[in-house]
Amino acid sequence: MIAADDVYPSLRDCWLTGASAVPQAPEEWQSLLADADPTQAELRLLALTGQLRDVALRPVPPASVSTRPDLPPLVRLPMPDAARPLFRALASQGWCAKGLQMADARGFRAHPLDWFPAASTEDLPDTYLPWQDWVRGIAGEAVTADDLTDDTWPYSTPGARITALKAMRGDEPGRARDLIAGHLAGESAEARLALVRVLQVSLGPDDVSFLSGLATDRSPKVKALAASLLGRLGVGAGQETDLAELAGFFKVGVAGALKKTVSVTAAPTKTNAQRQRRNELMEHATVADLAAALGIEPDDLIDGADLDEQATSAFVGLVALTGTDAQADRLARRLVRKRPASAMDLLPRATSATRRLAMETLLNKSQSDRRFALHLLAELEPDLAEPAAVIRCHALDAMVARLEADERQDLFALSFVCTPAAAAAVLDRLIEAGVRPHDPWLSPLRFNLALTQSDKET
Amino acid sequence: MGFTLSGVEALAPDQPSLKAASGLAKPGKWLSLTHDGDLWWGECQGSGANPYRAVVDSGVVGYKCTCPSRKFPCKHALALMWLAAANPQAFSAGQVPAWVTDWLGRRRTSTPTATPAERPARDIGVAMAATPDEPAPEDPAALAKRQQAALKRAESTSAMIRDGLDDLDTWIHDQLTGGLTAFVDRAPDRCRKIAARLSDHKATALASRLDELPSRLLTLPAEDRPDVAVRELGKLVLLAAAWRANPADPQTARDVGASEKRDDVLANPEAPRVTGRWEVLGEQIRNRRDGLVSHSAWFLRLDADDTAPRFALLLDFYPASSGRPESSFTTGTQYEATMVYYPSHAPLRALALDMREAADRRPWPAATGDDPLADVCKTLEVVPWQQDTPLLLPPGRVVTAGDATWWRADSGAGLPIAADSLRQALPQILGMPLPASIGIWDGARLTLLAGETPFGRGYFA
Repeated sequence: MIAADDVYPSLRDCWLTGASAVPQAPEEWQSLLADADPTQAELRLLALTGQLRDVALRPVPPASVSTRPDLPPLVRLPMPDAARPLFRALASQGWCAKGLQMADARGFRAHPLDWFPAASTEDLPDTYLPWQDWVRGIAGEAVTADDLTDDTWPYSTPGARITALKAMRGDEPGRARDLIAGHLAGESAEARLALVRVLQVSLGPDDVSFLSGLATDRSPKVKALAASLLGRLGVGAGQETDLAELAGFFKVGVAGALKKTVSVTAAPTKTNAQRQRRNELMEHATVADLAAALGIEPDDLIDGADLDEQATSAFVGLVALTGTDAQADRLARRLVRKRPASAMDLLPRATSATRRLAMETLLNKSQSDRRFALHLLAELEPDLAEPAAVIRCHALDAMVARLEADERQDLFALSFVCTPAAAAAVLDRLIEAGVRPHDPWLSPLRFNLALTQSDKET
Repeated sequence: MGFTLSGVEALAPDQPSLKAASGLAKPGKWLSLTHDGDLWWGECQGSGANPYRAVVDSGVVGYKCTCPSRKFPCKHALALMWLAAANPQAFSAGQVPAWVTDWLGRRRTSTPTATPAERPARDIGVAMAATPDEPAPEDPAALAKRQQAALKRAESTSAMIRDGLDDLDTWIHDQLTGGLTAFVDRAPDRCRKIAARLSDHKATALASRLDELPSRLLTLPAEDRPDVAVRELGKLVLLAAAWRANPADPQTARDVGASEKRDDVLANPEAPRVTGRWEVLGEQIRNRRDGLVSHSAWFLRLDADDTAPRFALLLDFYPASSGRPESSFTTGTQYEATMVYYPSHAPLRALALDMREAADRRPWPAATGDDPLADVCKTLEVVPWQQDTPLLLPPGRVVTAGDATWWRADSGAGLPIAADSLRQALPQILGMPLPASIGIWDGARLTLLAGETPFGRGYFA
């Protein structure tokens, strides 16, 4: 038996320096070399040595290998095999975030070899926070809302905490807030921002005290977020003199047959400087401030505002930033009917029903009105569009009539707001109109449909 | 809108293309012929291992073929149009496959192809092309003369290769006596010279192998290069000896001289045929120093039977000037297919026939044994000069050691991974146990192709 570990290095080292290795050949091989001339003997030995290395020696991993902990499992089913190539194609065309969002909403997650978050990826669906913790090298336990306490906080990962705290805000908002308040000081600015964002879930008057305390936070982003959340709770930071000046830009009256409805109109302005001043003042006020300054209830302000285009834009900004969710939704619903384009800034805070109404209205508007809306809605929420809403809308008619690049971008966005039934209906309509069934522009619709099956190996 | 024969005539770049197309415009020449509305596509067995895929659009006229021809449209696209015009019933209706969809997505339709009416009249005709060449009556004397000339050419080639192999032995010995340290340092220049000499001596495959040796060496850390030099030069000695012992052996003849033609492999009753379920593991497209691009497609057989080869490699070469070949397959797709293997003592390179995408998915077979290189040893017993061996690996995971990555079996054995193997899979692959994985071992490094993970099957190539 040849001791390959010893024989191989000694023969190789001879050849490294140009020396003959034949004298070093093991006894067992001498008979194979004996009948050859010196050149042939050297070559035979080389062949034997190469083969010896391949079959008798094995690579040995260094003793100091490092291993990473296992990737945490995610609470979603794997994306179906049929959807994976479509997802990869969409991701390569810049639609990764929407693909992930739609998969997430349908209960699926990406395969980590198809897509994986970077440490710096922002606005991830919560599903992937455990992977982001992993890629950031943060070790810890996965906790649920029931498990997360002051004691388990240090051992849990930031991503798991966020998910648990959001769930906790649904049932026990005070407990979640107290946990955040107790640990906020020890966290980085980025982590503090993420924790304060959790309060958006079930935001209520009990949060005012804690949020007011954040006015002195070191991070401007945290301060701004806290101020915005306080504004939504009706707590303003505007100066009294400024509010009085702002109120002077509006006129409060009554409207309706019974003269019982409050009406708020913009007072006429003579110069651009006046209009700019009005808008500046609105940037620093809250809905509650303005309503109080006008001597009316905030809901009357929302329902009675009858403003010109420029004042509407500033007012929408005011409500989007400082109105309650209900106020933002009410104003969005009003504007969708009258000035749909103005409602866009409010849709991120509107209910699904209002978003659905906005989409149904906008799908029948002109291309310039609907384009931004469609893309915004695709960002906000999948599965908004039912077949009845899309199948005979102007937007789809336009796509069918003229399937060029611009319209196709709209088709991508539309695909991400369709329910599976709507996606199937749109697909049928387009194919019926002459689009080829496997036209790559239909990929997002096919991806939508593929996210309704699950796989099974036979 | 459909095709017409006059339209096909007008699109043909020249009469020889049309003539070649007429030979292919028969359903029997095609593995599949399918259409959907204006789209007509098919797979034609060309001279490569992968069937050529051609698609033509009779709506907004356009065409695409995966063959390396520089003629546009090529004979395959012309034949497809010809069939669509003259024999549309030969096409079955079907769903548009992904490769056609990809083409539709990439094609530019802003400049429509000139319609036949806009094209200048040329002296090209379908009728002329379709006229069969009358086989000339065989003159027995001429036949005997031709056979004798062929025999003489074969003897001459054999003598040239023998001389080339003698030169190779001398050259290898020179490298040993000059010291492998110097050889490793100057490998590109030295290998280039002996490769050119072997090429002159008709040992084309051997010349290419030597041409690629420096790049194999240079991708490795300096401390590993002498081992690879010993291994590879030793294998060349073995291959030369095997050829001298039996120049007619198909494997040695292929590995020293030139590969058999596709038709010869298909007609060879000795070529093993394995029908079953195959999964596409990945494709590798590489530029070679001899100006060719190699296109490898790796397949795993999923059937339980262990007596037939587990892997198949579809290997094609294209001139680099014809452009980089496109991927032919979507990784992970499973096919029912017959692989016809090039005759070998360890069959691996194959040609695919009758490929049909499978409707369901099957799991991978389980790896057996603790030694990940056991299959390499089996292969080297019968083909000791083999370079690359595909491996079905037992449970393990990817770990790091400094800048290097290793696949390490749960049993403790390990294989270093090629530096460029994992591409986009790092770092996440480090967090996944791999109950099974598949890679190619080249004697020094493992290139991972695919792996089972707790999140589902993933592909690296």
